[in-house]
Order: sequence, then C-alpha cells, then structure tokens
Amino acid sequence: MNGKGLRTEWTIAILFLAPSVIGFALFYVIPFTVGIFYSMMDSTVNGSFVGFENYRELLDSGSFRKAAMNTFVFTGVSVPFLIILSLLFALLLNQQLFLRNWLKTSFVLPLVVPVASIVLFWQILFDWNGTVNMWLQGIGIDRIDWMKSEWSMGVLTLLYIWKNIGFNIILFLAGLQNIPQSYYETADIEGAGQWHKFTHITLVYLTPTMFLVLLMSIINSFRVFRETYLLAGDYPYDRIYMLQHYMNNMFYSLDMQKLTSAAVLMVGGILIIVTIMLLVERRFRNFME
Amino acid sequence: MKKIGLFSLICMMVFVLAACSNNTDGEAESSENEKAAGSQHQTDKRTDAGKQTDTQTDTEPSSSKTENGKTVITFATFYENDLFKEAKRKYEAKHPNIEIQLTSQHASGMDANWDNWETIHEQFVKTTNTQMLAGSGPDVLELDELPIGQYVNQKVLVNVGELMENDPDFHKDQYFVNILDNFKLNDGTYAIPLQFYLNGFTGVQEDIEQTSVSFNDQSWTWEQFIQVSKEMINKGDKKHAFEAPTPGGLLNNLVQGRYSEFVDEANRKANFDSAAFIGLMKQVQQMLDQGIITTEGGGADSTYFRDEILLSISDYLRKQNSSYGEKFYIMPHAEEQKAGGHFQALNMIGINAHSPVKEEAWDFVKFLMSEELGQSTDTLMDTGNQTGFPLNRNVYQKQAQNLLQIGKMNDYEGREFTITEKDLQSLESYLTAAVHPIEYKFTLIQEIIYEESEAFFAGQKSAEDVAKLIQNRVTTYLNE
Repeated sequence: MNGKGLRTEWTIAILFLAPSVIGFALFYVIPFTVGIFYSMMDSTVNGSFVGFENYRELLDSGSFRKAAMNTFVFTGVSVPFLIILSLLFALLLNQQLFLRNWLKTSFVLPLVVPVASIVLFWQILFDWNGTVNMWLQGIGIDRIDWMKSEWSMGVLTLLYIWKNIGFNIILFLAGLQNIPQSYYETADIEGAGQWHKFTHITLVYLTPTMFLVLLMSIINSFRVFRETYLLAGDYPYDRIYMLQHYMNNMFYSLDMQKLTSAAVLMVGGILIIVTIMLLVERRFRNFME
Repeated sequence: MKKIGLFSLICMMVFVLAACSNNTDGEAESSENEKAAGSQHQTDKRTDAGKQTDTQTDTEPSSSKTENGKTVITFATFYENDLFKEAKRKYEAKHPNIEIQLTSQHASGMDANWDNWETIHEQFVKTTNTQMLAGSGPDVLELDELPIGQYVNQKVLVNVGELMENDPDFHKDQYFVNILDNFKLNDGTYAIPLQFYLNGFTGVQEDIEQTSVSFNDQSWTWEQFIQVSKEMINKGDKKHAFEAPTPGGLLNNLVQGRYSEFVDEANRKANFDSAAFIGLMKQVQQMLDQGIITTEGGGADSTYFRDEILLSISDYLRKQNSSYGEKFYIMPHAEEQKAGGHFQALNMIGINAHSPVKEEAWDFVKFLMSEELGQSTDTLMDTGNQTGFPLNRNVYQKQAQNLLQIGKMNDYEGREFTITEKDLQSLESYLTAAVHPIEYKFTLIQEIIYEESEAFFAGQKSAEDVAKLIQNRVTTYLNE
C-alpha cells in the first residue's frame, strides 16, 4: 500500500517540476554546455579543437584581467559593507522603535523600483552636470566627475547598498527573531554585558542566516552590472569595467571564442567560492549540533 | 533503486524534449554540416589569403539547394529596393532554373512608416549575425547595415576580390576601378558597392578665387587646409572658412589624419594622453574661437567651404549650375593617406562563405553589377530618390548621354540651364579620383573621442582631463 502511494506522489511531483526543469535545461544548461564546447574550438562553424588556446588568449587580454580585478574588488569591498550595515539596521529594527513599520517599508522600497527609474534618477544626481555637483559648487568645492573617475566605484557601491539593504535586513530580522529570548534572559541572569551577549549569542545563532545573506549578497553584486551598463554604456571608465561588460562587448564583436571562455571562467570562479562557503557552513552546522 | 529509476526518467525527458525542439534546426544543421564538410575544402581554399588560383576545380554540384527543381538563391536586404526587385525579375527570366528569394525588412522612401525602425533594425542585425555565425544565413546579402569588419574577421564572407581575379568573364575595366580597388578590408574585397555617393566640399568659386590664396584641392591635407582657411579669412571678406557641424566631427577628421600616431592596434596601445592630441584639441578650439570654423549654418554667404555630398549626375549638374556659382572641391585627405577624393559606398553586396550555391550566387552578383540592369536615369521617377553613381562605367555613360540628349534641366531653384559636355567631363574626373571610402557610421574610437570632447568644447573640462579620459576608454577597448 505504501509503495503505490509513493509512486503516485512521485509522478505528481515530476509533473509539477517538469516545466521548470525543462525551461532551466533549455535556456541555461544546454546552451552553457554547448558554450563550453565552443570555448575549446576556434570557430563556431566547422571549428577545430584548439584546447585551451582560447583561454590563453583570454588571460593575455589586458581588459579581461582588468575586468576580473574590478569585479573582484567590487564584490570584496561592497559585500562586507552591505552585511555590516544591514546587520546594524536589523538589530535596530528588532527593538521596539517609533516608526518601525514605516522604516521597514522604506528599506524595502528600492527593490521594487524599476531599473529605468533608478538609472534615470542616479544619472541626474551624479552626472558631471548633475545635482550633487551643483550642491558641491554651492558650498564652494570643485566639481567631481563622479562616473568618470575613481569615484565611480564609490557611486556603484552606494547604488548596490541602497538597492539590496532591504532584502538583507528582512533576512537578518527573520534570523534574529528565531533566537529564543530565553538565551538572552539566561545571559542577563549570569550578568553578561551587551557586547558579550552580542558576540556569544546573537552572532553565533545568526551564522546560518549569515551564510545565506553572504551568498545572496555576492550574487547580487554581480547583478549590479545592469545599472552600470545603463548608466555608463559599453565602455565605461576603466574602474567600473566589469566581467559582464567584457562579455557583452565580445558578443557584439561576434567573438564567440573569448565570450564562451570568459563565461566558463566566471562560472568556475563563482562555483569555487560557493562550494567553499557551503563546505564551511556544513562544518559549522555539524559543530553546532 | 526507485529513486535512480525516477531520476533517469527525468533526465531522459529533459533531453528528449530539448532534442525535439531543436529538431528543425538540427536537421538543417546536420545537412549544413554535410554540405559544409563537402565545401569545407572549397571554403578553405577561398578564404586562404591569395593562394586561390583555380575556381574551375570547385565543381561541386549546386543542386544541393533546390525547390521545385529550381536552384534557390536567398538574397537578404534591409531596405526595399526597386532595383533589386527588377534584378530578380530579369535574372529569373534569363535563367529559368534559378529562383531568387528576395527578402527585405523595411520600406524605403518618404511615405514609409519609420516608427519601428530601431526595433526592426536591431532584430535584422542580430538575426543575420547569428545565422552567419552558425553557418547558415542568406546566400547573397546587402551589407549596408551589417558589421562587415566583424564578418570578415569571422571568415563568413567570400573574398569576391579573388573571384573577380579568377573569372575570365569578369572585366574590371567596365567599372570604376578606383572604387573597386579601394574598397578593401584586410587586403581582400568582401563587399561590392553597386552605387556610391561622392563626398567633398563646395564653395563659391568667385569668392574663393578673389582671395587669391593658392591651393591644390587635388592633393591638400587637413593641415594644409587649415593653413589655407586662415589665409582666406585674413585676405577675404567672409567671416568663416569652413562650416563644421560639430567640432567633435572635425577633431575626428584630424585624428584620422594621424591615426597611427595615436592608435597602435598591433601593440594595443593608445596615445591620446599626449601633447600631440591635446594640441589638436586646442587647435580646433582655437579655430572655433577665431571664427575660422563655425558651427552655425551660415550658408554660402558666410563661409568659404561647406561639406557637400553628390548624390547623382543630376544632383551634380544642378549644384554646379546654381545661381550661387558654387564649385565642387575635393576634401582634404589625411596626412598618411594618398591624395584623392572620398566616396561613400551604397548597396554593398556580399556572398556568404557557407553558401551551398556560391557559383550561382557569384553569377547573380555579376548580373547585379552589369549594365543589363543599370538604369538609364539617375533619379527614380516614383520616389524622386537619387540613386548614386553606378559602379558600372557603361551604365554611367548611358545616364550621362541620356542627360546630354535631354539638353536642359531645372536646378534646385527652378531655373533652367543647359547641360554641357564640359560639366560631365569634370564630373567624370572627380569620379575617377575618388579613392577613400567614408563610413557614415562612427567607429567606436571616433564615438569615444566625440563624446568626451563635447565637454571640452563646451568649456567645462580641460583638454588634459578629456585626453586622459579618452586614453582610458580607448585603452580598455584596444585591450579586449
């Protein structure tokens, strides 16, 4: 009796999963696999196998190295910033605060604003002839070329944090609310200070949430390409020239070999980072239990 | 055990469905691969630089692409063109075993609906690019809107230059050889312009001669032109020497003149952050300030020279004989280039390197270039569009003779004038002197220079800052 019930359940499950799996395979898995093959050939039509020649050419390209460095620096700088800020705000919002709901809404709003509006507004603010420069001139400081100097990385980081802080705050709030109050009460009885409570209770029990937030933030840091492209075009100032810019340009110049090799390298890099993170998380979880 | 079975079931379903949806493409692809494998030998020979000697050995039967027993040649164009429609009719009448499938994406002419142009254009370019890269795509293409340079790099166009050399039926002297010889990329001809416009300057002859500044427009460079402009301003009454619609455009022209000084593509280096480039920018600014060039359209009264583009024989005659007394002058050329005029190619035709019917396609292209098709008038009756100068000299002669016979014509102000042999001869000398092709689409580097220099010419950024920015962005591009 059990066996038969299980079979029907499995069939129903497959039927529900099928559209999603088919779509995923058709639009992601299969093209990417074909892309891996293309990256080893010298032409998309009647190409001959050239092994890692394309990868060698790719690593030779100064712009690719620059793009990879920029992407790495951007993720490395903005993700810690974002996590610290969102944790702080989550802690604040976890307490009884005046205007708490209004604050929560205002943090989440950036996520639902359409990209075109965000880009328009940001452009008006940070253009050479834009609002921020006008204010600066008003108080007597020289204009700064925001999008065409080293400051462009700062503008992007600001955009990234502004956009994604709401999402992380929600995740942290959920994590915080899962910590039983009894732990804090026990700690109070034992006479633990604020800092001690924070590091030994909050942070420790937030760690699973922390991993999730870290993962989502890293992925979102790659998503910032959309706003960057709309703000600065195909060939921005070289400080904000990212991997996706490189791949986009290769696509437009019909250079499929470099495009597919760059994509494979990027996916490989992300896979390594995520795998390391998941391994560490599993270790930690075993330790906790 | 059950789980393994179910998982393999899922995987199989995924693959089967994916394979099924690819079926139509898959079939086409596998048959393409067969043909491609067979014609791989030919393709390799054709795209080998200059080693091809004998087209006669490429006798693979062309019946591999037939419908109803006829060989099909697909011909893709972007704009509708009556010339091509007529070509299809005439060629099919002459060769009953051939069918030409002519496709176009957008109507041309004044009454067409231009609202969706951008979408249609983008889609056309993307679809054609993908098809060409996948080894399919049309047999014959009109390359005006397509990235010819990238196609050549990816080796998807036939080197028609070699076809021309090796075909005993093709007589190069029937055409304007200067146009054919100078429309090359990587030392090969991959696109044949069926028509062309002539670019140059126009100026009121009397006023120019009055200043008695000597110059030779057959061979002057941009540097010499700037000198001449300065002298003319000093000696004559007019306020400006040259009308530059945008200072950025003029800057681009000057940079083109010394391109190798600023861009070293082989070593992937740019040299814009240099005194030379900053000097150029300041020079253009100076010319603007001194009034040598103006960005306002003052017309013939306030400037000596203006940009001009000749659209057809009638166009030339009307402008030559207008009441202003204007004369056509050859534009200055870049320091590094040879002397000669400039032309803009139209209706460029290319052959797909992976086409299964290359022989027939080449025959059709020859027909397109021949005088059997050439129109005897250079203005289309129904749309009034100028057709450009034909590549085929015999067609040109026919048009010229036709006009001579008509004898009289109205200029753009409605005044009548007589058409003289002298006018036509001077036009012909300009046509045979045109050697530099002009792209009306900006290259990327030109776009970058144009965008960044705007801030300098508006007085907002210093030349040094702009030079650094240009250097930065161009280096990113060169290093890709």
